[in-house]
Amino acid sequence: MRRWLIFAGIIIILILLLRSIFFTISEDQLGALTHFGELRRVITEPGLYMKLPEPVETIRKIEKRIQVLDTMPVEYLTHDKKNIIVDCYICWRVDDVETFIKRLSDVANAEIRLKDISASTIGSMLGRQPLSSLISCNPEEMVLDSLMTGVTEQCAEIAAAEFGVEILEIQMKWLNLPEQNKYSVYDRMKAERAMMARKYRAQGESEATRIRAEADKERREILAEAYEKAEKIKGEGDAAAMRTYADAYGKDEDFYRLLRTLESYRKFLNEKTTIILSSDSELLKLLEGGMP
Amino acid sequence: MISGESEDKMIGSAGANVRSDLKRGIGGLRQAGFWFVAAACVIYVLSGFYVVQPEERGVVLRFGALEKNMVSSGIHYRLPYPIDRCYLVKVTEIKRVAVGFSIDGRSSVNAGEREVLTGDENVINVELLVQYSISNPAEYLFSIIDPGSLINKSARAALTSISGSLAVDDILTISKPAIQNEIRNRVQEELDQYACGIKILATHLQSVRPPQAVSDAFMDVASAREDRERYINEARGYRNNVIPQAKGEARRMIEEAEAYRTEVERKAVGDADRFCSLLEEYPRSRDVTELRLYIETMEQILPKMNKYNVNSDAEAEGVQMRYIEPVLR
Repeated sequence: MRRWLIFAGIIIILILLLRSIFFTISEDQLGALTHFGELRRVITEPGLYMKLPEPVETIRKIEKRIQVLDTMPVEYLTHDKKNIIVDCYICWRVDDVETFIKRLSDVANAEIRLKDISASTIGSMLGRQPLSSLISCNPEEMVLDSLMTGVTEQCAEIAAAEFGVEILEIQMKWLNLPEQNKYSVYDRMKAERAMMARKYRAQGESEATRIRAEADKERREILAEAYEKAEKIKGEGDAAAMRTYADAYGKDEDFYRLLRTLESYRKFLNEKTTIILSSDSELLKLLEGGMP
Repeated sequence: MISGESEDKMIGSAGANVRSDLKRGIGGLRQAGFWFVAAACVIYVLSGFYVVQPEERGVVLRFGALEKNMVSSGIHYRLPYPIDRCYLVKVTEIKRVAVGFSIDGRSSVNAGEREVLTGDENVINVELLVQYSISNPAEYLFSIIDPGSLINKSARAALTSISGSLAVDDILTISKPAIQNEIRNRVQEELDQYACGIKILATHLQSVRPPQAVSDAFMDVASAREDRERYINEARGYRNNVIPQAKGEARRMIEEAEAYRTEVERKAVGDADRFCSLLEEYPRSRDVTELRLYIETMEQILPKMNKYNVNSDAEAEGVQMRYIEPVLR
């Protein structure tokens, strides 16, 4: 029975010893091996490793993956004395384990220092730019992206030298105006909109007037053209008629005169006409004088 | 514990039989222990089996180092803990990241979160949805902490930069697809740079709106734009009405003129023909015809009129007038 207990005891001790001697570094970890508190070895490749048992050598595992840190929204002043609120994020990871452990010791500390560095760098960089270079419809003026590249480079230099942290990127994720400035912006926006609305309506009205005027003009042109054609056609008719009459009546003008006169008598002499005839007239000659 | 207790008891009674029983008992225990250890070993070895579901891919680490990536679905074996470790990642699942709003609608989003400053210093509210899936499980697991948070921030940064270079009207109207594309490209580029093993499937601008305080003004611009179209359409309607009318009128005028031409021409020809016919006969009996025509005409017209006959003898005193009732008929 005792042997059984001893066997179990040995197994447990062996496991503890193995656990103290062997250790693994995972894909997402960096290892810092310390010998009585003094850094002896930095492990960057994942795998199975051996060390002297505790408390002679201890292994500390540090996050290797990229971490995304949110800076808090901070109010800055641009070169043209405009207040803006900027919120950035920082992508970073531990690069130099030795420096990192010496200067910062842990992630929480690192985050505080990174926020400080980024805030001061962004502040000084923004202070040299007018607002119009951060937001502008003109792509040549707009330097926001290159500005952030500059911030990243400066911060990366400091962070790498001072705490063994690699800053991969600092990006501006939020750019806004302070709450108290917004109302004036809203008023300006409203004024701009009102102007645009007026412009659109005026455009519509002037365009409509133009179309109507054109339509009227076109209508008159059409009618005038039609009048021209119609008169021409009528003239042609009249001319042809005149020619026909002239040709025919020209043959005997006296006969035409007689016929035409008699015909017109029929037309203009009617019931209302009172005629006084001389007895000399051709018609009444016989009445007075008897047969010749 | 149980074995210890029974041992005390048995020593107390101190019998030879008991001793042999004890020996047998220990032998039994030893046997049981052997089976127990054997079973534990078998279970330990079998614990290396794992199942990858169709929508998943497996990642196996051996002593922390990447051993296998993209293990496809089915049953697989790995060495048991603590040698190998296995992670299962859902690769077919479409994950969503919301910018400026919350997907489930439960957690409230800070109102300022969705505010974006445009290139012409306007403020607009933007809600953006990013859809992504995991393309490389190992990279997804081991290159970055909380990739979803990076996607959110990266998309927000892209939005800030892009909208900062555009005028508010472009953002609200025409540039939406271009902005979505640009954001997707930027975020994907950033993720690729860090080998995050993520593929951005789509970015979708859920809502792009002016802030509440100025929305009326923006709506008025929209209605002004509609008014403009309406005015123009009304004018076009007027034109579409007037021009055909004028064309019809023109047609009528020409038709009338043509009718007139035909009429006068025909009439002339008719008159001329008649005259010519008469003229053919006329020279044969010129005087008689003249007289006949004259009298016939008079015959026709005089009956209708009041007539006075005046003696042509001018030397007579007074004028002799005679009222004639129809003379010739």
